[in-house]
Amino acid sequence: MIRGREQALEGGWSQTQPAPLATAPGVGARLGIRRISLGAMPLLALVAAGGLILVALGNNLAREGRAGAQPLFWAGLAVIYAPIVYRLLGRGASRAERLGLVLTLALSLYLTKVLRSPAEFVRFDELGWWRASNEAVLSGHLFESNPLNPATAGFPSLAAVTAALSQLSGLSIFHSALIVIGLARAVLILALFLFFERLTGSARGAGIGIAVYACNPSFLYFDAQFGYESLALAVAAAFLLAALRWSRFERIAVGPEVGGTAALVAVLACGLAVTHHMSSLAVIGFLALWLLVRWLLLRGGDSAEVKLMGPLLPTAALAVAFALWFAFVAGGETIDELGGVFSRAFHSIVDLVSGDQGSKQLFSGASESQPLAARALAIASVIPVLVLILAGLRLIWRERLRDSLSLALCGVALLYPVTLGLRLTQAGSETSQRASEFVFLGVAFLAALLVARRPPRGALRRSERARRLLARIALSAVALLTFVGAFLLGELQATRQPGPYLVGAEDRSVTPQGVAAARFAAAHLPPRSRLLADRTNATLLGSYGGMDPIFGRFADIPLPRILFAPQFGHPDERAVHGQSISFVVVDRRLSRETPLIGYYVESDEPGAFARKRAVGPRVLEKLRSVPNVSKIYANGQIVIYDSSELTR
Amino acid sequence: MRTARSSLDLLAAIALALAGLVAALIPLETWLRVVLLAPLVLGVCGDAILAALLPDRRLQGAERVVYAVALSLAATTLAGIAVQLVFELDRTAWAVLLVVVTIAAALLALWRRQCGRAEQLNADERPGGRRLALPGVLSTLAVVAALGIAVAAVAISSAGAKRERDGYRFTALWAQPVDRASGAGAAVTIGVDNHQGATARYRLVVAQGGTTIAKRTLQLPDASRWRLRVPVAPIAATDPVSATLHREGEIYRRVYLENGAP
Repeated sequence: MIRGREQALEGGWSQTQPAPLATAPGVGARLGIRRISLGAMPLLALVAAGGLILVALGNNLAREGRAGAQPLFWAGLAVIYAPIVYRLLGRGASRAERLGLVLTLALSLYLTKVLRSPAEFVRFDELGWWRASNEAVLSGHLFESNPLNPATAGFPSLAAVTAALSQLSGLSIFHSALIVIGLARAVLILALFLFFERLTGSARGAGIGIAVYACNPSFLYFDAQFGYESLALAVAAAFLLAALRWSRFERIAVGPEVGGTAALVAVLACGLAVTHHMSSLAVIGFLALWLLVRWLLLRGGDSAEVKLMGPLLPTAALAVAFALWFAFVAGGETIDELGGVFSRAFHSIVDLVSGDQGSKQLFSGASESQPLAARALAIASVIPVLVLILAGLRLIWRERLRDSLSLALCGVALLYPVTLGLRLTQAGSETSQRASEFVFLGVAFLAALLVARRPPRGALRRSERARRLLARIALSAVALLTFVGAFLLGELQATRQPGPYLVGAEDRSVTPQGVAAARFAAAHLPPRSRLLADRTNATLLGSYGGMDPIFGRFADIPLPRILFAPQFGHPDERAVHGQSISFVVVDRRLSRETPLIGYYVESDEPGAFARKRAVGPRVLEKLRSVPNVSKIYANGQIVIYDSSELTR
Repeated sequence: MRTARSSLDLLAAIALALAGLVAALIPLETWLRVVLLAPLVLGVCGDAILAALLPDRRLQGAERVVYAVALSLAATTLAGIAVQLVFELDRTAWAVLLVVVTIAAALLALWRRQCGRAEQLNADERPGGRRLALPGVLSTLAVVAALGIAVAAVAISSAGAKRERDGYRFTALWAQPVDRASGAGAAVTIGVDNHQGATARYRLVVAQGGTTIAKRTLQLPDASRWRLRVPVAPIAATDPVSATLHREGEIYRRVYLENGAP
């Protein structure tokens, strides 16, 4: 039970005004130019850039399948992350330096993702958004249907911005997307830094908060990919910052700013609602929690202004904007996608509890398992986060903090252990992964608070200075372990770095043969023809090829059986006819091994996650003997069959 | 004079918007387009809207950047959603849309600043207030060098990715009816795409119903394409057209058409 009246933390705007800066003497001063001290940031930017070189060299070795790829990659990540965290932990850095350091960290880690595939998109989601953006460019309209990612039709923000930049600048969609997502990453980190700084009143705390936020398993790759979540996080962070500004009006004299800030909150709420369903719902949930805690802390004697300020307007604005968008535009897409994710997670947990399904093997895909050291590191990385949460809660309890926003953020942090539990199931892992970027907002806040609340010390003796130096080094090492462990937890071993072709391994299954087949389809086949293919080729043909891949079932017939049944029989012919499948694409490499992610086409196909042997090569050749099916394309690995005669 | 100086940001936004409109309408190099138009999509538009909402410029630099970018993203999307109901969103439409939003917001901000001036002097305009903040020369050089090294990292990785792509060597053979829509089957197009990493020699044989109707010997440089249009009789399962590509004396690829059109 929360007792006592609401008392905002001693952060606020007043402490965050820019500190007086040294004025450059001479010409600069006469021109009205101030000199800003960046401290060690430029040097650490050089070090981080060196880390990027290591990552690039490591990735190149991985592409050639040579030894040394992983040590270089991990060393690169350590060189980027650890020195910046070490500096952020210190008390000597100025606010400007800390801002520069968190931006350096954010952009260096973003470039790490870019270095994974610097010339083209290879991820499923990214290719789905490439298609959405390309459709927006070609048709001049948003909301075009997208078989790769149906949700893009309901949330066109990313496609709209990318298409606008591409059309106006003449850059390709790929390069426009890199700019948009890179900018979104910078805005996310800036907004979170300011948010934590406002809350705790400490730039040092805010910097550490950002370093901890980067330890969420989605941060390095998933949230840096060309997807609507990456963009929505930036808008959501800006919205939260504006909400915080609105909620703290009673603490500063603002006068005419009230209307403008209310409008700012409303516009950003609309922007977020049309960008991403999950982010909108997560922010609505968080604001509702904040509102609830605030109301519990309010007293009868509080003025109407105090009651009305706070998170009421932001909550209402976002809830109304999302409800309207859901009701009139994106309801179907939202229910299909989120309903599927949550229902799979729920059923997985029920099956796990009831014993119908064993627990998922942690830190592995269906056909890969990580080395023991990696597993140990991944498990160990959870411990510092749990300790941090406990220490933060203890601080809040000990100091009797009564700030509703801080308490709401504690509630968010407490979800972290719950999301760890979800990782015990196959479907729950996806939910846990997606939740981490929101849950870590609370975890990062507690880290910022712990740092901000440590009292400054006066002059130290040499032994104490040495002890604090060692403590900083140790804390930096723990932060690095947490960061690396989270990445191990969140990304399949096969997809962390590039490398030779693997079957059913997402990024690692994209090769020039697949791209060439997609380019052929784009040039020579009727646009938006319906076709059946494995997941990787469906993605390529659905994006670069401009085709409409078909998934699911016809009547009770699962479509993947057309590819993998021993013979092409009557049910297959019925399915081809019923779904009007004009082309069937066969990748002969599928017979090499079982798919790494557990399935060839979709997660509920017959045999998914249970295959012990790969599909046989003769099965993949069976369409050669089917009458009225033409073999129209062959590049050695990929064959395209024309089955349109069977659809008549 | 004082008004103009205190609203230099808005005047600059209007000037950039107009320059962007011109750049969108006339042929220009891509890099120049990027310089003139990318800021409009990603920040200037939002900064003008922010100035209209909060005209007294109390916001500090980093927070202003956050809202400016977020508002730009939101405004581009929301305006695009509205406009695409009526017009197609091509380059001109996007340019006009963003320029109108930016200039309208900047004019509103100018007006609001004028109105607010009599009541409240901006904190930024007090002596010693708003001034450009720049890092020192050494710091700037170090940051520029870091950017250069980061670009080098991307270049190294891009070169590695290209080597990886070039390592996949293959040849694609395909066949398509010339006019799929009509289904007449009067001719087929045969295509050969060389991705072998070097010049390759092939022999192509096209047959229909067991009769050879075309033969070619090809020598294709790397990354080149070859097309052949061959007249054929109506295609059917009983009278299919096949194309066989031979390389180094062996059958290398084979495709066939059993139906003339989808």
